[in-house]
Amino acid sequence: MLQIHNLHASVAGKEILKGLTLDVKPGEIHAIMGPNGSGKSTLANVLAGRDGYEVTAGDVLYQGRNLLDREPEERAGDGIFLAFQYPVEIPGVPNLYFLRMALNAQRRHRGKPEIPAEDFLRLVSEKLKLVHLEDGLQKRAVNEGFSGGEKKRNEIFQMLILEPRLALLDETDSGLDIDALKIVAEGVNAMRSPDFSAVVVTHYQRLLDYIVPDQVHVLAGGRIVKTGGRELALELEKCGYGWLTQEVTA
Amino acid sequence: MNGARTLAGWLTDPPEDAGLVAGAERTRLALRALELGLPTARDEAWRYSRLEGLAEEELMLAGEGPAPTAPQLTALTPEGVRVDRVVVVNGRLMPELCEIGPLPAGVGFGSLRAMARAAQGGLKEAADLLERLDSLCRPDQRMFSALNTALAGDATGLWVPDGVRLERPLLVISLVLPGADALLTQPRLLVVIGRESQASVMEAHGGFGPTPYFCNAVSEFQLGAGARLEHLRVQRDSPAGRRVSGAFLRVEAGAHVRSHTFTTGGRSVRNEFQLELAGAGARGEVNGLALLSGESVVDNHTHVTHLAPDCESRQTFRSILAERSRSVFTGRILVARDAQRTDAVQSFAGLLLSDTARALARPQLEILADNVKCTHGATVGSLDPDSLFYLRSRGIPKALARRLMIHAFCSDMLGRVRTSEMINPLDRLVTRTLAEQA
Repeated sequence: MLQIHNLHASVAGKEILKGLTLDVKPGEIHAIMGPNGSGKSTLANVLAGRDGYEVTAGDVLYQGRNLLDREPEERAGDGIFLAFQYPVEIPGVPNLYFLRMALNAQRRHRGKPEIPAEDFLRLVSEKLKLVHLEDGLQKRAVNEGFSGGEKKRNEIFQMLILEPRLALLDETDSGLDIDALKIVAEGVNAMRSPDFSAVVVTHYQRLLDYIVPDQVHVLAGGRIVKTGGRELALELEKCGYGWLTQEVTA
Repeated sequence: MNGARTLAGWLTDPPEDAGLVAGAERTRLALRALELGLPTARDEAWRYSRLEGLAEEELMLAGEGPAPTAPQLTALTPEGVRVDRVVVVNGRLMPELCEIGPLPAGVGFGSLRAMARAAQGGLKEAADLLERLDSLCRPDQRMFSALNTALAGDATGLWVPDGVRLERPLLVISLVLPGADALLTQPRLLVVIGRESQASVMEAHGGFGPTPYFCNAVSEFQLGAGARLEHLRVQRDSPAGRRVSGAFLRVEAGAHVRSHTFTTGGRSVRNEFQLELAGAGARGEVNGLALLSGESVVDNHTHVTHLAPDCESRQTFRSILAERSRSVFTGRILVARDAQRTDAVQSFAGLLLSDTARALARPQLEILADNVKCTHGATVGSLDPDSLFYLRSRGIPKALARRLMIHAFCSDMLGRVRTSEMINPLDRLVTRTLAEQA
């Protein structure tokens, strides 16, 4: 599904990722943990194609094809979804209007016809229940006046509507109380299938109690310094990152 | 058949059939316009309007024009809705294109010249309407008003007596269709809404073709106590067209007016708004949206005067500027000594779509009363890259995402329009203009 090899990336001339290698197979969920500034969000943004992130070496294959020369909208059309750490408020653009436009753009990209209005509305009401969001919010502008938790749940809601093949969750758990965290996890778990993979970037292992990862990676100094099963997350919770970063610098 | 002349040439020796007033008054106004003269580059209030060379330009005084094409006519007409309309081409009313259905008793809508004849025939309403001509547009101080009254071929008048609610919007389509020669056209509108009456009036101005023209539009609106008026104005000029457009509104006690101007295109468009809140509890809203590209310039000047207590004014201006276009907003609020508890808000926002576009906002507040709420704000920026990336990350192609954001920027301007029949045509205009500029 996703193969990252020796990825180096800079932001504003400063190298953040320094040779990251990662292989995510179809159906797998990978958690990326690590201290602040280790490059977790940079990885998510590079994969989604955000401007300002310069890849200086290495390559990324998505479904066997070079990902890095694709535009963000092409990546989305090909099935990549980024759940933002800080979802953006876009005044004047109604949420549902935006989401239908996005879904139809992706369908066009895949050579499929636009979704009929009724089917879309049925899909919306079905998925809204999963994330416990009120109908009323969807009539508002994108994320405008949403609470922090509502914004994160709205990201998961969009993911459920757009049905990506690869989801990148950039600290979707930050700032969430335990109930909201469970809702986010349920959303991701609802997507689980042999064709769906996810890279879950998180600072805390708490989320991984609910989204059980196949692999846990520790990112430090722009590289993956340790990989293990879900028990690694528990170990990190207990001992912190200190001992790992010391290993890197040593 | 007249040949082309300069503005001064026309004013020095006006043709017999030109002008909205007769005899000595016409002569006086023509001389006054000559005396006042065109603004020059040294005139601070005019330094951003591009009127250079206008004094020397040889112009035909608008007269008969070609018949407009269907798209030119219907571009701004709501579909499937009955609206009463007057069509003016090159300053001349086209009776065969006008569609005026049965109107409530006492309402007059149509050619001001025809009304003048009716007034001579003893129709009191027509005489009352004509009496209000020039009462707001200050022809003795404002050159373009004097010019319009002295040389306009005809005008459109609307008289709504007291206590009448017009259900259908009234539309005045005013087209400039120059032939080979540069053209001077002077659309004129005079609207009087009686006490407790209600109307919705839309002016649709369009200029077409590569020939230069100068359009000098003057619209006067008087609202009696408790009246309601929505005034919509769309201006779609060609890159060869220059326009000076004045809207003069006077609102009596408890009356409400909403005035919206949508400007697209034009080499130089100057919009002047004069709003007088003359009676207690009056409310006035003046909105302006400009969508510009190329070398277009819009120069918006507002002059809002609070003369009475407990009045509310709102000014909201937005400009979306592509390529090398420019927008200037000069917003003046004057609160008279007696206008206590005034509530005045003014806001401008400019969206720059290129590095070479420019927007300038100049608020000017003069407050003589002591108990007032008066705020103003201005912002100028470009499309937010984070929002753009958010939309693209969901699969929306870049060009579409940009259009969506630009449309969002002006959506609240469309949201202020209350005449439901006009919302869709205006939305189409905005969408089409944005698509053309993309």
